[in-house]
Amino acid sequence: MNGVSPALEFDAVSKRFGETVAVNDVSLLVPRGSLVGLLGRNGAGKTTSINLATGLLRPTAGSVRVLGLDVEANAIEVKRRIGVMPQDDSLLEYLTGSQFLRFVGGVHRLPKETVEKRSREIFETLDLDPPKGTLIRDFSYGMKKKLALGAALIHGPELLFLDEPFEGIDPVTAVTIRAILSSLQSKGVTIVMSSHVLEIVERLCGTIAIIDKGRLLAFGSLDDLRARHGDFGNLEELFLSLMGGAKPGELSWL
Amino acid sequence: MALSVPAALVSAQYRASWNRILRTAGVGGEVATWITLGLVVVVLFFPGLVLTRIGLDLGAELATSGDTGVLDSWNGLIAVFTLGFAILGGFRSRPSFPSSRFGRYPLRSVDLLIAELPAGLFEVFPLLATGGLAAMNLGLAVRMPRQAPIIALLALLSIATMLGTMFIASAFYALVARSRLVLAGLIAASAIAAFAGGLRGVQTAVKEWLPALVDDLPIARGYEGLVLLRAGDVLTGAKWIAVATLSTALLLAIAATLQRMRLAAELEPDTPSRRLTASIPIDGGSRSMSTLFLIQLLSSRAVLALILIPLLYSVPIAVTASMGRAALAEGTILPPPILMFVGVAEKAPLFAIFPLIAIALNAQIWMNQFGWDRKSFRTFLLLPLEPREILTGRLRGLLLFTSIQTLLAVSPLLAVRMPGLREIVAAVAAGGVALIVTTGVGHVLSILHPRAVDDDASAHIPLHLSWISPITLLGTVAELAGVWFMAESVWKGTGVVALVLSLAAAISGYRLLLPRFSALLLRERERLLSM
Repeated sequence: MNGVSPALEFDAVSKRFGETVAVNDVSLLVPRGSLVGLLGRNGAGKTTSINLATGLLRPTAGSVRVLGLDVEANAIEVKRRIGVMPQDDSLLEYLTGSQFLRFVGGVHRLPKETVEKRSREIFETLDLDPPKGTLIRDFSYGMKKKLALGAALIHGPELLFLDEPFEGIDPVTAVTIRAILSSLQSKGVTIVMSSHVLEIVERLCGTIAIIDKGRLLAFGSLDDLRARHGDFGNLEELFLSLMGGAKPGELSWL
Repeated sequence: MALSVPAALVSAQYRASWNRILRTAGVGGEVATWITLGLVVVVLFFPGLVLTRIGLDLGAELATSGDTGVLDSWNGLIAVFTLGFAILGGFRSRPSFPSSRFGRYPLRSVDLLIAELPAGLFEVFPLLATGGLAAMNLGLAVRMPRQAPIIALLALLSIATMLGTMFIASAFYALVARSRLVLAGLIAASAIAAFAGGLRGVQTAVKEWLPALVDDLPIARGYEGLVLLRAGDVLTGAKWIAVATLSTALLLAIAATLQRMRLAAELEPDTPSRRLTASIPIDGGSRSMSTLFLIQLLSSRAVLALILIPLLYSVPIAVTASMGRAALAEGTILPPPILMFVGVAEKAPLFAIFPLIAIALNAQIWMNQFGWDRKSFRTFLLLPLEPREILTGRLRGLLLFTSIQTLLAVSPLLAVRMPGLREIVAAVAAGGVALIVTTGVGHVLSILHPRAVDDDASAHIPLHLSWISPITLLGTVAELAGVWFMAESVWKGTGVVALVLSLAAAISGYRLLLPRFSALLLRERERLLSM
């Protein structure tokens, strides 16, 4: 059953925070091996959707299944099989980078030697080279993002959630991360990533999900979206047309 | 019209505080907050009435007689509010506008202090002191209506003196918390004072030095000036009121300077503890959860100071007892207070008291177990960790922290005597029971009322939860004492056995309740994530 189940399934999922509806009756199905780009304005519900998928938040209505498992009922099993790179700075800031990776690897029950080997590889590949003994709290924002990506990958997840993975990352590492993601996808790993960088999403993601005010406005490949929403030049044009266009960028006092 | 900088700061502070209360008030949200505020008003109403009555009575006597005893009583009360409450308030006070958040704006230190004065009012002790001072001066103004403007000025000066003293006290505590050298000096000074002065010294200080200090307080001179003005001695009266005003301005200037130094010092990095942290092995096993919690705690200077504070109790006892014993051996006749110290140090259950002191001091940790590493908490929830692993990690972390604290605290007492096996077992059992009970209560409280702890700051226990810590501790100590005395009264010498059985019961109770704590943590995880 698990072999054919979708990687991610939202069934009429809603999430309310008091009066605010952050996610509104969203249903979607992400096949295994997809690379999904989640787009939307600030506060559209992208991070809430990822938090629902990773079990951080509980849906107000509907259900979320990950790799064929109900997230609420099988939280630990789901967390063993997914990797998450959150948007915010939520690393264990009083550890060094290696200590943190050792901790995450340990929680995933990886052998010590494997953790050491993979940690070294992560540090080298992501060009993460802080002075020895530097605590995470003293890392730059970009270094923290790289470490968070490394921690999400260290146990070899089947499904990877990345919240704004390219934010604050230098151009050289961005190319490396793009290559890692493509390689992961070719090996059958499903990736769901939110981003504001439309060019990267267009180039990288086979499936696009556009969310606004908690509602899923569009979901499918670029060709599917063209068929449904008219022939647009690039993803930015489609996105802007769905959002109702951009406002004139002028401030009266400047 | 442009908003002044202090007004903008204070307005933002009040709005943020109110929004935070509404956000974190927990069950019942806004309603609970209003009920709590209503209860505070009811609780404060009667003391307020009493103080207004005191103001009326003393005001009537001051208005009709020139009795200096009445003025002394008045000034004594004013000193309690302006100094006593300020010193207590200093423990809880911390900068409302820290450099980490406000340093990027073009703010002058004078703007920061002006904004800090009203912002600093909204804590329990300054609020009580302000209410008391206002009520007393109101009563006085009713009795002396012609002097009402001067009384209003003196009331404002009293409140400013209280706030200035509170900021100075707070900066001093922060300095002590940051500098282990200052703390060590304080411990040594208290040890010397305990031996040199003893209780007789304290009595002398209370009976002679304190009244003299109260009489010479500038604000007391201000009220003396008021009485002189009323009696017709305008020149001397005006002089004393001017002295009070200028002294208050000077006090505020000192407070502003210390506040600026404190804000600057808080931006300095904490290098030594980082080097220590980097060498600790973390492997992701179940023990890692307690190690991580301990690392997080020890990364805070406020918590580091907590480790050393029990020494303020044990060092004076140890020094006084050992020097007293040596003096007795030489045949010196010692005063009764020193003999009492020697007696206390010689007997059980001295060692058993220190784990309880440590747990009482750690209330802000066990009552807010997730606020210290709130950023990491999201990571814990994203990893395949069972909630019980997170909770038992807190218990083990608190056990490690309290053990370090207690061992450090009792080490000076070893110079006086070695504890017997029964005393050690009693200390471990009593401390264990208290630790498990407080941690269990703390689990629930920390899940339902999480409060984020900012970098290097202590997490103040909010007013509406502050009763929980003393009630829990008093209940636990009463239970331990009850069990001990019952067992001793049935069969002499079985008190220790009863304490050990209490510890076993506490461990079993915790294990039974752990699934419920875990379910609560899982159910309320969104509350913790929004901290």
